[in-house]
Amino acid sequence: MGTRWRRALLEGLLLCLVFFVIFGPISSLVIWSIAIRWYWPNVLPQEIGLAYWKQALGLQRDWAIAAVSIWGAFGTSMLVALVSTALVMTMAIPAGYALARFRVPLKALILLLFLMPKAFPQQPIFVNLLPTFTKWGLAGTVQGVILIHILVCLIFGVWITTSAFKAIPQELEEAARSVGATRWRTFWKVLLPLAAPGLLVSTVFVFITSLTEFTGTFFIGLPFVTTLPMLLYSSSGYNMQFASVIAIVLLIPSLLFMVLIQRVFRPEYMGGIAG
Amino acid sequence: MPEVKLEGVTKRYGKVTAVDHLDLVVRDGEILTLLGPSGCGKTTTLRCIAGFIVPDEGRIFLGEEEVTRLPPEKRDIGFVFQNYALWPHMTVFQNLAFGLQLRRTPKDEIGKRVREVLSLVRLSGMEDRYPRQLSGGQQQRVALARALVLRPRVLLLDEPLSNLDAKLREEMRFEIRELQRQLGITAIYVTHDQAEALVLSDRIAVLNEGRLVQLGTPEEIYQRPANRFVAGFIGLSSFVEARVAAVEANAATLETEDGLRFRVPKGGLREGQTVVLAIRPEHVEILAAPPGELENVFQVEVLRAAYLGNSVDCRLRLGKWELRTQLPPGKIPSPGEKLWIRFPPEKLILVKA
Amino acid sequence: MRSGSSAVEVKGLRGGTGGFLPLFLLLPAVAFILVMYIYPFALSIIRSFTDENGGLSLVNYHKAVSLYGRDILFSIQVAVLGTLISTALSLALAAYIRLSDSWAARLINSLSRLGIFLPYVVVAQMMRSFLAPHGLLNVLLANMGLVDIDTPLQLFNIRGLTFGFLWKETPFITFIVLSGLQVIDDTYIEAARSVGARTRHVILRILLPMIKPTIAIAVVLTFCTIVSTFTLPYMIVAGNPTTVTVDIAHRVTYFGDYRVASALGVFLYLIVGAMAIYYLRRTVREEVYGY
Repeated sequence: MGTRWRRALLEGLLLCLVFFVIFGPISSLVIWSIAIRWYWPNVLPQEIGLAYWKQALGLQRDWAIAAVSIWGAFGTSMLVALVSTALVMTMAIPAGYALARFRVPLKALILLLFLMPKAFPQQPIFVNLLPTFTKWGLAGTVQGVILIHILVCLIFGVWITTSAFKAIPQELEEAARSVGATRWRTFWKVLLPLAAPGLLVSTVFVFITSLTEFTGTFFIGLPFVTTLPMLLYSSSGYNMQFASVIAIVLLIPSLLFMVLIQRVFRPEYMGGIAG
Repeated sequence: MPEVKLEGVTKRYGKVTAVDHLDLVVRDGEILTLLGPSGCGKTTTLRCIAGFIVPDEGRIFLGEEEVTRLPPEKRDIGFVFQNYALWPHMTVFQNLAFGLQLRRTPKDEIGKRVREVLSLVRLSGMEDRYPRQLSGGQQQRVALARALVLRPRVLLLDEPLSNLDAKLREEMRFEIRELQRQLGITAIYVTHDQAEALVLSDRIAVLNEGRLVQLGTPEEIYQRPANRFVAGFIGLSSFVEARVAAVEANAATLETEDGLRFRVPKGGLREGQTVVLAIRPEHVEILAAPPGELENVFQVEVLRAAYLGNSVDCRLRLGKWELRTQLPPGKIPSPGEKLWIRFPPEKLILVKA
Repeated sequence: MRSGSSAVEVKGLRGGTGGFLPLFLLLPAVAFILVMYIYPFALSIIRSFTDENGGLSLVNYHKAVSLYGRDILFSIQVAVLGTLISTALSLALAAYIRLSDSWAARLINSLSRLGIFLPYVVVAQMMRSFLAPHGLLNVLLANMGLVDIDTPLQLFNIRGLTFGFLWKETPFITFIVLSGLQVIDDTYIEAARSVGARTRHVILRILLPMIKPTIAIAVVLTFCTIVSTFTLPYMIVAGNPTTVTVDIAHRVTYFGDYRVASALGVFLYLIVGAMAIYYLRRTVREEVYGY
């Protein structure tokens, strides 16, 4: 019986440690977002309030609190994310269908193309696109940023859609074909509806990846394009409260996605995201 | 080799009672089969004995030692799994050696014991193969060998043959039987296949819905089933319900609803009592010609006849009852044909309703 | 109604005919990747070998090593440290979750998913506020007496960076490894117990060896991710040394020097080199040949 208690104790300690490690940084964010004045070495802020939130949401303007409305950056982020996602999915869904269902010539080579960005660092790519973009007048523009976002998101998009299509048993399509449906018909009436949850997961994941993308936007978007992550970075140096507010705003879609994927969950999708 | 004893073992899953106050003693050196339909609790019981499940109530003894809550790695048992559970990343040798290594057995001793048990299951020379390179039957034997190499005090087998094809199963039944006899090891075998149970066992424990229904030798179970369930589960039976019409010292006359009369040489019945007759297919005698004065003779109509190669499986209608019988191969009766049959009175089995 | 044609003969079923359709479907995505990825990838290598007159030379590499040699080692150090520690933690965590059916284990499993879904920008900001000299961690430690008020922990260096990477990557590896472990039927574990294996034997001799390829892929991906990450070191590491990714940004933003930046990029390619190739080969082989 002694071992039972010892095990329970160890498990309890582990749980506490996990809680601390996970929620420590998160609560730091939350506390900062409602801190008006927080000086060392107080555990909690001396003064708390929602001023930074209100400022960020454009509900008030108080020059004493150095926070700006985030709606501008939010709008930019949304625009970029929506357009990028739409374009990515337009390319990724046919690509996923092809990879999942056809014997593709040069398949290994094509797969390599879609895998390399995962294995190799992407930063040198952004950096070396910058001169080209500058020449073409794309540097510092929303269009340029959209192109970069498409690059970053396309890989994930293709892999998850491929997994989503693969997860549907081919017998279902064969059954449709055997009663006379064309390939086109079968795609629209059988495969697409069944793969829809997986494709939805893919779309949402691509959208969130674009919303939270930083590195590419940093190189291509500066100094004119300000997305939410860029705003976060620029305020992080001098305004912890404001930065924390933005961080929490960026955190919410990711959390929602986490909940979504638990409900529509299929390990195959995570296969696309993870490996 | 100690015996295995279960006292009042109970296991519940939510509202379902998988094992219901089971009392059982497995004798030293015997092979006892837990037999029953899916969900009867036989696998749960076996896993309790192994230690993979802890019962909610009751006690389990291996010999003198109470092991009810002891973890499986401390029980000194050998377990053969239905899916064999051979570790795919290890060779046959490594699979067998693993348990011995855990006990810090010296290397040459390990080699000796592994080769010994491999020859016992007739797989010598397969040491360096991986499980995926073996056939189903071979894998099964490795699983058996792995359970035996540690010379456990009891061998537990969980439907080990159900993944094999029919022919292999029949062969392996005898092999397992012979192996167990040769080693004299106490064994508990779980199966839903009653033919298997009849071939393998010293005794059979028939389980239904978590309870022990009957415990006995294969002959006892087959010839004298305790109730309708056992009669129906073991061997094929047709059932006829009847009332006791007249009673004598050592015999009785039974009458069914539709007026069929049977004479059974069984005393101790009460007039008006309802009984069920269990009729085994091999106890139905087909008469060549309509008889003279014989008891238990009826005319039946053939419903269906199917050719099985070594016999003909027939369904017959007797009054409002349906009987099943097996005819020797030869002329296959056609549906609608009328036959005369007789039930030898001493072969009729009476079971409780 | 079709008559007489079997399912397999119908065009395009079970990948029956390749032909042009799949290539046509893949064309937009492939073209985009070629232009937006392969082209600048090639450029990055070419630029690294180009001197200011357009000729071929190694001058960029010399400059990169002399200016940033220490940081190259730093990047390797962080990646190795981060990968090793998070792998060790993840293996232990995944084994624990797999073998334990307590509510605590299930809770830890759900909680640990958080790191997978939070983006690096958010994690970077969290770490900035948590690990700062006057941040939450130091405040708690100081008030508990574990740290002197005048000398709080300085964590905007390899220590904080590693912690950030651990926070983000451990959940990821745990998830992958756990997925692999869940597929292992209970009977394999029970079989081990029935021959006398204790928990540590079950983990080290049965569970982990059975999923070696899975662990390998997770390790490789983590290593490549850590080497490639820009956001986290950029926002956390103050001063020297820092990672190559930060140096690349530095080189481009302050000096407009694409050549040395590319040389640094090639160094990054080399660091992930063997790992990346292993990952690519394995994944392509699995996808195309099914093993």
